Amino acid sequence: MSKGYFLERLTWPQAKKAFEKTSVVVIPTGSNEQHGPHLPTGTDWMVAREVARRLGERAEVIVTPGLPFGYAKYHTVFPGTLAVTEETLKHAMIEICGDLLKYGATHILFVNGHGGNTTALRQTGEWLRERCVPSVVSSWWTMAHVVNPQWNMIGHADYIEVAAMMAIAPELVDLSVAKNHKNRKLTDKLSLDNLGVVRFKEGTMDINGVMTDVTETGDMLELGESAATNYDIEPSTGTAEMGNTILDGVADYLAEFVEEFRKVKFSPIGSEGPTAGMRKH
Amino acid sequence: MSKGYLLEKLTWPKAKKAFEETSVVVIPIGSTEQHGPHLPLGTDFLVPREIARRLAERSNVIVTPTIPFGYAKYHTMYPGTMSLKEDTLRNLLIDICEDLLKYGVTHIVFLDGHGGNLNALRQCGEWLRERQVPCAISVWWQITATTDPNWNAIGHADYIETSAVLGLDESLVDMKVAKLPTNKDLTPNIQMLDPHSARFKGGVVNVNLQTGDITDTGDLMEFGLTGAKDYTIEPSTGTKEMGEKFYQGQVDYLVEFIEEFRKVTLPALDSTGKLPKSK
Repeated sequence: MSKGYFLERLTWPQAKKAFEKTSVVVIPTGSNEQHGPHLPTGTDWMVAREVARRLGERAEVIVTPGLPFGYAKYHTVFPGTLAVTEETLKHAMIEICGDLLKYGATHILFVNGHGGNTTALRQTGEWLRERCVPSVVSSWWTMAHVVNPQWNMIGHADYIEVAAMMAIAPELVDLSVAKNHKNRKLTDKLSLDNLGVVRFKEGTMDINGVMTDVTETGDMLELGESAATNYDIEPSTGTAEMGNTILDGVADYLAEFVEEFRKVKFSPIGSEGPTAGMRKH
Repeated sequence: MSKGYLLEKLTWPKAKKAFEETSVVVIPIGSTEQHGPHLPLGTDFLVPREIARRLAERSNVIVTPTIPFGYAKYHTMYPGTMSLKEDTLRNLLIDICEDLLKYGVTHIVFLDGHGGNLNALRQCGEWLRERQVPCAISVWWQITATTDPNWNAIGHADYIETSAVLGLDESLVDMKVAKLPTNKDLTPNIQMLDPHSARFKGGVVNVNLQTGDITDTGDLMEFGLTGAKDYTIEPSTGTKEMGEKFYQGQVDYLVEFIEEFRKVTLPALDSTGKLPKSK
């Protein structure tokens, strides 16, 4: 018996009861984008949907449908990527959150499957904070180490992501072409830590590349995105067993987190602190 | 062996091959919105998703992931409805089509499960037309009569929609509370044909109401939506068997339509000699 609710399966009278029982809402976000030669383009939203599903079984929350598109224009140099702009994504998220507030939602948890969405989700969070609604963004791949300190994300379509997809839909994973491809260099002296970071000597700077600037195959290492120290791990080492351990572990973690998160209350902006009482209009 | 492709299941090298093989793309879109006391909030996107899934088995097309949110702000008096604004929906559709064109797509077919999306879809269609891309928008309730001449949609959450959901998953329908709704009149002399059309004497004017203004239960009649003559059919007359026939009929029709639609080519806007020559 599931503790939470899956909105798309409820009639509106059932949804009304669910919103009366719980006001914590989980919104899965992802992307439909290239994931190297070995993972399907649906990876990011499929994994987010699965984490949200497992969380909905464990915690009294309402899980909404997820948008299968995110901000990933820099991936559209590989066929199959379908992305919206950051602006569109921000508007879409704010608009659906606006409806959730009508039904009494008080806390929003984004279960995010794609790093490129974080700016739009942060902007949505600002909008929610102004309405006193706490919102958090949980990017599942940053939590594998919570399950096992040895497991740290090392890149796009890495062994962690392979493991998750092996657990969800192994028939969609083509391990025969999975390989740890190292990132391209821009010049002899300029290497790329990831798509957005160029390294020169001991320093780094942000750079505006697209995926083909850093990889021929679409998969990519992402140095510094986690506590990882070993960037040689082959994607093919990801297994379904490992994936289930991660997905269940992250869902367990989030279920526990939700009970703490429910207690968070934000006061109206301007009601306390240095600006308290200052507003005149 | 499936003739088409579900994009989300393909790696990019497989997607590249698929786009080389076919340049017709199907985009299912719906809405998360109240569907009366008996149908689930996901109805409008679950139904086109299923039509598209079956279509991919029988037609050489690429099906994209389903868009579960549409324009349905006028349903938000009922809990659970989650809607985009029309502008956002239009932008979202164009954003995605822009990417599809990068991969050589020449024809786009939207399978739309929700009437409220039509303005945004039409605007996206305009954008595509300017780029010479033929775009068709298919709503299932305009096709049901090809399956059975007696099947005409009569309203929101009606017997046909009920059948379509039963065909997917019987556990999603709460049949014991399914009942034919009556629209509330705005005044004794103004009858509501649907939330947006009001009949006064012999004429009809458009109004902008919330569904909650004309129904207590969320389901409602939509007079004039199709060629229906009988508006007394109870939603509970829908069956799983009808649902199965519904999906087969939709797909039979769309398979044939797409083979015809592939042949359509459109001239550039400035190529017909009617516009002044650009300098």
